[in-house]
Amino acid sequence: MNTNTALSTSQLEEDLRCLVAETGGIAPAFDPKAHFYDELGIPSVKALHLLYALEDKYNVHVEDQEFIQANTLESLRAMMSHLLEPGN
Amino acid sequence: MTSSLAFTSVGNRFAEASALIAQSWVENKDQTLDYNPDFLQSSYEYPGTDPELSPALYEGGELRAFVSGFPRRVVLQGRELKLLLLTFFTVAPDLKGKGVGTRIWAECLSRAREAGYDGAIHYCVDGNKSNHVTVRAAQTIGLESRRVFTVQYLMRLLRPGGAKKPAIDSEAGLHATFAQLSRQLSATLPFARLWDEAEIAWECTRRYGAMHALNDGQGLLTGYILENSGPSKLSVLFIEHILWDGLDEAPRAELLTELLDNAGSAEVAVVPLWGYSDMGIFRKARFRLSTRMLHAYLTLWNGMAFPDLLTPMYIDVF
Repeated sequence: MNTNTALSTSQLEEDLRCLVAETGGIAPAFDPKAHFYDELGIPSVKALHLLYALEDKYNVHVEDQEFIQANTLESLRAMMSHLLEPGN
Repeated sequence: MTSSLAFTSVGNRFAEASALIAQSWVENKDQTLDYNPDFLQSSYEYPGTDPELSPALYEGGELRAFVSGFPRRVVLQGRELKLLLLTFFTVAPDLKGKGVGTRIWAECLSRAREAGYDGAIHYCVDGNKSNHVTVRAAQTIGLESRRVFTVQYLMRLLRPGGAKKPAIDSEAGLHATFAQLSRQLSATLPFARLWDEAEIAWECTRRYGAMHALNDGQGLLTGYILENSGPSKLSVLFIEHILWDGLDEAPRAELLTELLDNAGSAEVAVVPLWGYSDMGIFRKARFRLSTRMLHAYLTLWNGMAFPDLLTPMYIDVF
């Protein structure tokens, strides 16, 4: 169970944008629809850092397959919103 | 200029080949391993390697494109085949898009056919242009390359520097265990590698960065360590052979722990999912599914029908 207080959608997306940029080694002003791996070029090792960082920061378990499919900022935000819903 | 290309072979110009790989592969989708000259030299020391099966293009004495071919013996649906593994496919950045890659790939396949091989196997990272170039190149000489498997990977970050002193295993015991366990495994699968003694010695002991953990006669993990090509030059443990079907969960976990301990300098461990072994221990050891995927392609020309998608496969990624 996560211990996060409710985050607004826009706040969550901005937090995730910072996290993706930091762990992925890219500039934070990227297109929210851009594919992390095919378009932004985030390598697999950095993607693993991102996965760890998400789990640490939000105190949740992220399923590997869901994480791989959440390959844009928009889809990552949607996935994390769901994981952070009360009761998850 | 490119219409008059004449292909020779890459020979032993490993430093040039390594530098060209680094230049050419920068645009690939994911970071690759840093195929340094010593690694390439070690690769060409693989038993039975014929340097003529690595065509290369030179311009003014400078290496400009090449592909490497290494022998593999496999059993495919009960029939033993000699395949050429095509790898290190490299074209100088300013020659890309001019048909050079297509021609050099086709040349390699033609040479393999003339040399008595039954077919070829190669791998392409998902999303890279080589997926299309290599299939098209085979078509130019009337051959079909077909994707037969997609490999996913498990990956884990490691804490480097905490290496224990590796156990000193006898080479004879190591090689005998590899021979026995790989033979047992190959007998159960629709597609599997076959090994002779010299190949086992190379795989377990002689190859660049070779690493293993051994439970004598019953279980074995092998791999190698190499840096990746990223700016931070991470040291990567690539786990290659998982031969532990006769072991229970606890000794499997011990074996994996031993391998990770032995790989003291490694910062990342990677293991491909070929489907031939239970990977539960890796999951329990906090390995996670990687975003990287690799497609395996077969090219067959000796009357062998293409199999459906092969699951599982026992082969090495190169």
